[in-house]
Amino acid sequence: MKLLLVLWAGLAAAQNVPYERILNSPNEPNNWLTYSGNYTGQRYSTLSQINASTVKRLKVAWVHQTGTTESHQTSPVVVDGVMFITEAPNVVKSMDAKTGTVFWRYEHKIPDDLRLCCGRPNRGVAILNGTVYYGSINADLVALDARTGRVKWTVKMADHRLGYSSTVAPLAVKDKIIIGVAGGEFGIRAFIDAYDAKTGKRLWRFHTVPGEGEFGRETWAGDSWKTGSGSIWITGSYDPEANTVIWGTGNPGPDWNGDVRKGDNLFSDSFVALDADTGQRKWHFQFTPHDTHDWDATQVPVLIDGTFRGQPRKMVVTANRNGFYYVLDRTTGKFLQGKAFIKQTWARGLDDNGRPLVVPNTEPTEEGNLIWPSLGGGTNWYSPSYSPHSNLFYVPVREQGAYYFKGEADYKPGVIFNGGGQRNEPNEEPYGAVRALDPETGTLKWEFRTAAPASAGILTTKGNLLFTGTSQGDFVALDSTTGSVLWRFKGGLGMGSNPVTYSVDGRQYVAAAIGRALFVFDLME
Amino acid sequence: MRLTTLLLFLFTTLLPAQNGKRLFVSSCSACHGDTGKGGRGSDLTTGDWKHGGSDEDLLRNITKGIPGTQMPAIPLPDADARAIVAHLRTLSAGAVDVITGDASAGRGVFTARCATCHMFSGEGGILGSDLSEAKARHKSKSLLKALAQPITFTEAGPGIKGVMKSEDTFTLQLMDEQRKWRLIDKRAVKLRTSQTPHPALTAPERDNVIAFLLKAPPSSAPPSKWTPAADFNVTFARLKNAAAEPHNWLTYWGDFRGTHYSGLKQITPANVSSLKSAWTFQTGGNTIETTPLVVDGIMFVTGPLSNASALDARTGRPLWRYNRRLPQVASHCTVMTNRGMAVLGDRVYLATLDMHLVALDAKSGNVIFDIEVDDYKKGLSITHAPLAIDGKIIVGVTAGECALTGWVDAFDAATGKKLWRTHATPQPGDPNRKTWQPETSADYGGAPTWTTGTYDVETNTIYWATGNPGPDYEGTTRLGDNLYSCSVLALDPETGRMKWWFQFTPHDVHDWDGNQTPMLIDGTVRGQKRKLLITAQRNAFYYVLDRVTGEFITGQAFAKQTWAKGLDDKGRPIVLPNTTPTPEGNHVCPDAAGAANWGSPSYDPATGFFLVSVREACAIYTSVIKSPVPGEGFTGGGQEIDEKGTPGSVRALDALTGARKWDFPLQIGSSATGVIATAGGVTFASSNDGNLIALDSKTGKYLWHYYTGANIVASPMAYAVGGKQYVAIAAQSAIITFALP
Repeated sequence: MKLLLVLWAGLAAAQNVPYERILNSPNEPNNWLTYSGNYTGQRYSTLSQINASTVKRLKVAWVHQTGTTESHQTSPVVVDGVMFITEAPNVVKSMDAKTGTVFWRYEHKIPDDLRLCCGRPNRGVAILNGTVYYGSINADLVALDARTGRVKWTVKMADHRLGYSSTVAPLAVKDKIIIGVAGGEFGIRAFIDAYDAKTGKRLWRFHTVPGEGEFGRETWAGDSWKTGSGSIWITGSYDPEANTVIWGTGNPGPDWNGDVRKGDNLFSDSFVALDADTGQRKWHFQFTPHDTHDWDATQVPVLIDGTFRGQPRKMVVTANRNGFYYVLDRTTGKFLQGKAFIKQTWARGLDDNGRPLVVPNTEPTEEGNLIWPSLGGGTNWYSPSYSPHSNLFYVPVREQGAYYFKGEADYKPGVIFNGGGQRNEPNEEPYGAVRALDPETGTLKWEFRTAAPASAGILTTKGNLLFTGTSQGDFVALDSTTGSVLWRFKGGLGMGSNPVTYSVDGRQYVAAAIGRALFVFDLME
Repeated sequence: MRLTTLLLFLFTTLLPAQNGKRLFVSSCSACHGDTGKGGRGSDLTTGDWKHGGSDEDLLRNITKGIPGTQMPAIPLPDADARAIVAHLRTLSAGAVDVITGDASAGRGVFTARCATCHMFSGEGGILGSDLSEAKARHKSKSLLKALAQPITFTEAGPGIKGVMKSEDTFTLQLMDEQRKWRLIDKRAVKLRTSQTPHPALTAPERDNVIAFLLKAPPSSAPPSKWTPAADFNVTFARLKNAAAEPHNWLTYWGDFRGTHYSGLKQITPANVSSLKSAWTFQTGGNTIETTPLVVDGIMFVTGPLSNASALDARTGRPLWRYNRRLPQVASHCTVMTNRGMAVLGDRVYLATLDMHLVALDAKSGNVIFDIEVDDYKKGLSITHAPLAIDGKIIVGVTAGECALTGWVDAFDAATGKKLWRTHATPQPGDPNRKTWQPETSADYGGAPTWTTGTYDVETNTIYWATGNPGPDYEGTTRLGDNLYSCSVLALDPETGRMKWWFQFTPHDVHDWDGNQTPMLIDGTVRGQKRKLLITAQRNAFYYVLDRVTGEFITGQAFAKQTWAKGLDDKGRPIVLPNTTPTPEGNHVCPDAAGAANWGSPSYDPATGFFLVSVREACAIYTSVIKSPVPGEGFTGGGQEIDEKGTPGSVRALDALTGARKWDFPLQIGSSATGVIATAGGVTFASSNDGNLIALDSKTGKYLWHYYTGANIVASPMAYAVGGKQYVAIAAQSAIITFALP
């Protein structure tokens, strides 16, 4: 009876996450209320029970195995002792954040004629008030009762038979659920949608590829915009003062053959800043105009209020898959600073407006053209982190080159629309690292080198700690100031997810999906 | 050609590849590119197939994925997968290989110049890669390129130089020049690399050796001689004295006697509460049921699909992986799993779902030999760990529910030569054939031998248990005791001769296989020192036998049962009336999974307790008459567990009497969870609901538990490396280990 009461209390509390709580989530570091922890995209927590001196006592508190053989990319959301996770291909679970006891399990019905490029992963849920929101691999947005897992409503965002899917954790802003669609290898025309959180009614839609008569249409030759992709598969950030959501967009389609889509191909490989209420574009910044290397800009935009060249500045920073680190003014989208953070051979640098000075003959060819970085990019979708404690920006990097091939690009609905391929440079020994950059300049402060290119995101905490994992299943805690290894645990299979931290009843936990299992750590007594 | 013939021709010959192209584009091109030249995935046009190049290999890799790579399983109908394979053949058709050398001359070159480092068909060195499958994986161009490349040596401190086999961010797995594993902490040493060219070969030598590698029929025959490596040699003497090296776990049961007991004592009731997860190894596959072996810091585990890995037992880092390329196994006749390996000399032995006995080099995982035990197509399979004794490997078979019969086989450990087979059902000429009426019912009568046996050194006897008679629930078509089903057989290892047998459940009609550990202990019974065989059976009775004679000494029910009044003086159950399955159904306890099953029990010499994971369920058993068709299901009925469900417990019995000493209740009783007593006074038990539980060995008092996040279908074991004691358990797709901080 006592146990039931405790469960009931926990679940009851979990019902109530009004927008104000997410807005003020830095004030309740015991919870992890949205994909990146809060709206800034910093993936930083002020919890410090686990810190640079206590971390050596970190141990596994509990484990939860998925039982599937598919990629486990979830970033848990934690509300007052209740954790919500997703599992590939179609499961949402609510669990006791202290013990891993499963409260409910929702399984979404998915068809067997999905068109997918890269497996059936899912990266997590959003919570708002008493509802958990989940984007399904067949492009449905599903609202679940946070207490019971029962479906409140489901809306179809797009037709999965044309290659549309959803893998991203939605973003809850005010009374809206903001989400986008993936499918960048299928010639989709992607969009970012806002839905009424209560009813599921669509409130606005922003196409990441402009249509006839719209701004940027001229950046696509002929009808190529119709199959221009620009997919959405990583959660954006939100600037409440400006009421702006900023999202990163994916590559233009077809990936490797740019001949059929001459022009800059807006708003592919861009950050788009949208009015949260209307979806109106405020500004955009394109990192890789006319991309032919599949360098999606689907990285979490990290919002920093700091100083730039001595002046207070509202910035958005990002380390992009194309190998460059960027500092933008997040009010205007103006380029402030940029610098390569890995080996890259495709651009001489960035011009004053942040446009890359592309080196000639770096496009894919029929014979194959060796370029750095590889299609995996200098970094990828897994989250970077910014720690106000150390004032450093951390990025998981990949040092690897590849031969890029150009191939045929005939669009057929629902069929892969690649236009080529890529092969890793076989004589190279690729490696990875966590790099700590000066957020203002992009200058390297330290690096922690890993045997293989990065595959997992970063969490930093006020305890002067940085948590991340490797593609060989190590989960590590680094000193966030110096990069030295303070603790590690072998999870036994590559980590491809983002860690989070939370606390329940005064005890801090760190959670990370490693391999096919979710591991939760706490301190030994 | 008539139009219909032409259409048929087009349909059968051209269409699969055409259809294959369409399917390839929709299912594969996202990673491998539209033209197969590669993308996120590898280039498929070269004709080099790193993971096997046969149609079966490609089909398996498509539909099951490739563990440890990005290649996912793509669930496709067989016809579609075959169409893709047909298309793959057209993609690589351009890669015609021109082999100019003389293969037979190349064999000499290989032996003289390459075999120091490289292995071919089980012979040669392990410093370089195994080239046995060069033909399936390479073309002459890639071999030529490899020959031109230098060999990189890594130096990790004074005197430690070798070839780096793998590394992660923190550790390095180095095979040194003496072919010894060096498991290096990268942060503790300065690493230096140097390069040495491959041995200089003349152009004809080079062409000949390439011709040899690409043309020589890969042989699975055992090599001519076997001299185990000096630094890794698990001799028969070591196996006999396994108790003398408690840091290792040298057999499936930990020793020959099946006591499943660890002499380690670092973890005690006083400190066990601070036990923590040391490392995890995830296979990415499904339920692992393995009991690991540990030899001097190296752990050997198996995966469900007859795969195997060697791990650094301190860190969980894999040293090698063996991925079996399984054909379509009759999954309805077996459990698609594997429960462990045997070690002897410098080899580990794996028995596979497709009925092979595979000897792997323990250091490299290279296949030394791979021989057929029997034809898997009959519906046979092997899931248990082989038993290695003096120069012999003993295996049984899973053949229970498919109108097949069981046996015990012995093979020469060095050569793989079959030495003998002892049938578990009486063959024509055997007087016990009359225990089957009609006698021909013995020919499809089951009695499978699907768990590892034990071995008594002093009397030189193998004890191997047998399973239920078939059909499981219908006895009227096989009247009589149905020997040697539901029994333990005492076998002479030299000849396979049956010294004696003891049948636990004559004429079983409840699927109560006798395949529980025939555990060997010595004890004093009525003032006399006796060599005993003890077992807690699926039929809910505990037995104490004289293992020299097979004589029944004592026995009693150890769990709830409603089918027998007890055991008579000879240990034969006194069966109650109306306990036989009927077409309408009959309620009987225990259920078909039994009161105990294959999960390992343990014997604690400190307390004299026999510790066993118990399940107490009852079921309604029904029967139907069905004609036997070998290879097809032949259960003759079924059972449904009643509304009380399947509670269980960890139970301590007095090993000499079966009297209950303590009981620790479990939410779910399981046929597949086990117990290990340790010298530290802590008993570890696994539970089906996913917990590893530590109990006080004396009292059964709860001390600690850890939730593994998934169901457990395996037994825990213990080992030590560098003075640190570990406990390990397989849980779903992970091996999880524990140690004190």
